[in-house]
Amino acid sequence: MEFPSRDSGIAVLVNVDNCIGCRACQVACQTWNGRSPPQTSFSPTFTNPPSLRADAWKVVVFHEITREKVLSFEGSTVKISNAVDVVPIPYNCLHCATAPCARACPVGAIKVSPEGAVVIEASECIGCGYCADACPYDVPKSGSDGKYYKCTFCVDRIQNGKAPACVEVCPANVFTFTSMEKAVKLANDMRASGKAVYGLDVDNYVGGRVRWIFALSGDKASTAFAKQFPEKAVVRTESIREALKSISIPGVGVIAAAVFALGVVAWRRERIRRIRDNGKHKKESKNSSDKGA
Amino acid sequence: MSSDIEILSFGTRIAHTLQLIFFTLLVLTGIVLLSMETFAWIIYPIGVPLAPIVGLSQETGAITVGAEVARAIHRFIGPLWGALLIVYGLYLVITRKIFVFEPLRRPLRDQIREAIALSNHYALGKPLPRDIEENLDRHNVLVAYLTILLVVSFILVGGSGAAIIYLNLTPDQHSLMLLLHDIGFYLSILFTLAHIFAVAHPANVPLLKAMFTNGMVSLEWAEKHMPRHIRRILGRTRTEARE
Repeated sequence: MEFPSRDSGIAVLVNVDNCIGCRACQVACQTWNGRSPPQTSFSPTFTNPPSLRADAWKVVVFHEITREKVLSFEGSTVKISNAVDVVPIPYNCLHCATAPCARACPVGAIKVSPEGAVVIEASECIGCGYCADACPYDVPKSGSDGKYYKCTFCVDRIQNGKAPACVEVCPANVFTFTSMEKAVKLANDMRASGKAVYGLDVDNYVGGRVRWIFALSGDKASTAFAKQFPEKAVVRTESIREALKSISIPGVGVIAAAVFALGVVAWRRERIRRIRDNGKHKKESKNSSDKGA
Repeated sequence: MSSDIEILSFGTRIAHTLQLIFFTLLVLTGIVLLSMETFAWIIYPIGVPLAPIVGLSQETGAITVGAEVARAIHRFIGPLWGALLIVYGLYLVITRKIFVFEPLRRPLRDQIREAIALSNHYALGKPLPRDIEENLDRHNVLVAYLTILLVVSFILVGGSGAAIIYLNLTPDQHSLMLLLHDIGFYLSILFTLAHIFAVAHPANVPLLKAMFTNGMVSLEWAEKHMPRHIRRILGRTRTEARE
């Protein structure tokens, strides 16, 4: 599996502070990709559907957080502790630099475009679910046909010079669709201005970086990012499987060769012993026949 | 006068042959899913003719269809193999025919001494010490150790395989089961390599022939390779004859 360099290709910088939670991106994703609207239900949160699904590749996740707010009015300030705030995070596949889902797919149904878009080729998917197991962000979801689905980075649009559908419809300028190089620079600038950034320096399991980079004001990010993203972007069992596989397959080959060599030596030793025994036997029978004569 | 002795019963031979067939099929279909980049050639010839039938191109669809077939066979044979193991295991337990762990009753020091002597004998051709040679049982201590390896690997592979097929697992649980499945598989491959070395060793060829023919070996061979067992059998037969 070959991945484009993590410094090349495309990326999206998501300025979560700008998000108004209108869900236009969610609807645009459904429409452009021809996904049928998922059955929704009431729940104690605005997030609907409650998580990514085979037919919902982008979901705006609303995190309720509490923080201290300071209101200033005509020179006086009012401090409100435990003020409830809602942080909407437009969430989809993060398109990891070296996507573990693509590495885990046993049939190579997950392709990585030269731009870095990680795409499940549904016609090649066998529905084993290894991609879902390997994903630290809980992204690939099984559809009613048993195959797995997720965001394609609108690869059909970006390869024709357009921005992803969700990026194009956003009325609040949340997304900046650009080259990875520029996105990293912008993200670093935001970090320098005091915002928290997720996606620039994540675990090596996902290639150390993802192509959807999120930025949010530090005080909100400490809670909302902690709820949205795993502390470590790694699936421990999967990384052990990968490590075991990398040593076991050549290791078994070496052991098999050693066993074969020992077997050959044993058979050769046996052959020599038989020849010696036969020689000894012939000598003895010759001696006894000579004595008889 | 030719004096042969039955060393492998009909039931054992049938169970072993079924085990051999099922295990080989499971390994061939399993390693494809474990490492397609190394073993795709196994399923490619199956996928090439089938891909156009399901509407996929041969270039991209051969692997997908081949893997689908391998996965279907793996998930069909797996439970059958599990059922065979359970039935055969129960039969051995109920009829009290599990003798393979007998060498483990001896003190650990003796076991290790025998294991080292046998390893040197089979791998390097060194002669066995006389006391060890005279006390070899139906199964030696290396066989007992390998059986433990086999049981552990089968529990890991079988348990995780059954969980993957029959339980509705979360991705985390599924991933853990796959890891256990892989570990069990690697252990079973270690067992298989050691087993193949042992049975293909020139000293054990009569046993290999017995497994795939009538289960009989010459008494002379048996007295050399499992003298303690033969002494016990012959002693029992004589007692029965006296009675």
